[in-house]
Amino acid sequence: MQPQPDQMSHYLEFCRYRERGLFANMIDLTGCQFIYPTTLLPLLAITEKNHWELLINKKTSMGGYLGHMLSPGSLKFVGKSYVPPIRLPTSQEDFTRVLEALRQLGPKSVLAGKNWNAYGYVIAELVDNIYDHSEFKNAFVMAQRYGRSGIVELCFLDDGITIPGRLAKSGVVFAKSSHYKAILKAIKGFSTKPETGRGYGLSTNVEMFRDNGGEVLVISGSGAIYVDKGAVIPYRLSTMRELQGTLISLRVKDSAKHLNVYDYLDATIKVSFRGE
Amino acid sequence: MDMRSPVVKVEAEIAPYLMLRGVADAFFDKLEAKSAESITLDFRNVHSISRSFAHQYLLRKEASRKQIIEINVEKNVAKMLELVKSQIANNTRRITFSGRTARVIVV
Repeated sequence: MQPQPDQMSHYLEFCRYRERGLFANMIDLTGCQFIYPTTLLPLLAITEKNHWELLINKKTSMGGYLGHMLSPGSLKFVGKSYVPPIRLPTSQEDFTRVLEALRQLGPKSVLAGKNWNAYGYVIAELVDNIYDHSEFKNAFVMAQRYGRSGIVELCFLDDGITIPGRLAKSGVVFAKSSHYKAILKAIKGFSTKPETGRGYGLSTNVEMFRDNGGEVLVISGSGAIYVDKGAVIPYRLSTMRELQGTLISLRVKDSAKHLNVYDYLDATIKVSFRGE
Repeated sequence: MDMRSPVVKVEAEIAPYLMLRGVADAFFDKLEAKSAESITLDFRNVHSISRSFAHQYLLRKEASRKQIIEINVEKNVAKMLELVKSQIANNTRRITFSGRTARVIVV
């Protein structure tokens, strides 16, 4: 039997915290040794939504990290290996300014230099999907580079109408038990928009990460799809594990930062462009 | 350069890294509000453009009655615009996503 992908384990960890939070009206991370964006981002969102208290122990290294990450001035940390959780502003121009500020954080920034053409591009495209499709009230993005393992994890979360919900609005309806099929359809490039040339955002980025040894987890409503080079794993989420919105988690080894996005946009045009 | 065509510096108006459809739309709304029939867009110092921005930009350009002239376009920006223009014109996409789909897991 295939081992459970890490990202799904991290999402299920969030579900466990959420379940406890429903009883305790708080999220207790004081005993937490390590937390990935796939767990942290939805935890932050639900804590804020439900006005739960988030308990952290700032004396531990994990607590210190969370304290920095979540502080109001977190965007000012120059050279840090993360993009702290950013709430998507209503104005798309404001988001552009935030991302530009992060890009200029310093040479070690996840978005600096050549990293922009890999990670900055992905963030731009998937955030565009959130604005264009999700009808969100709250949405967040964050990124983390792990120095020792060399892994970069990008995470996107919105509380919108979900991928199955968006398809349903366009007349393509999937039962809850088949929400994973809706997600798979979106990953394969199906678009609900009428203009030609649509349907590239999610599909291109999933393919690009997968082909460079990365892993992608998309959770929306009652379904989820995990993708890596070896397989596509569909999930049916039980009621306690559903997500009212969409979570996208992408991971790749940092050595893949010279990803050439053009290779994934059109196979017939061989482009050697490497960006800046 | 057509002297009757006002010059708009894209980097100053938006950013050196162009992204998001809504930003492309807002930018074109400003262009449409100008009285000039022809506008020159100076892309100097614009270093990259996302596919979604390029797509929306091209759709708006096609729909506009104004003549839009682009100058000082960096190679990668020009390449993305050409790529997306071709995809719109041909209305095709390369379906490459494939993978062995495992059985559904219930969690």
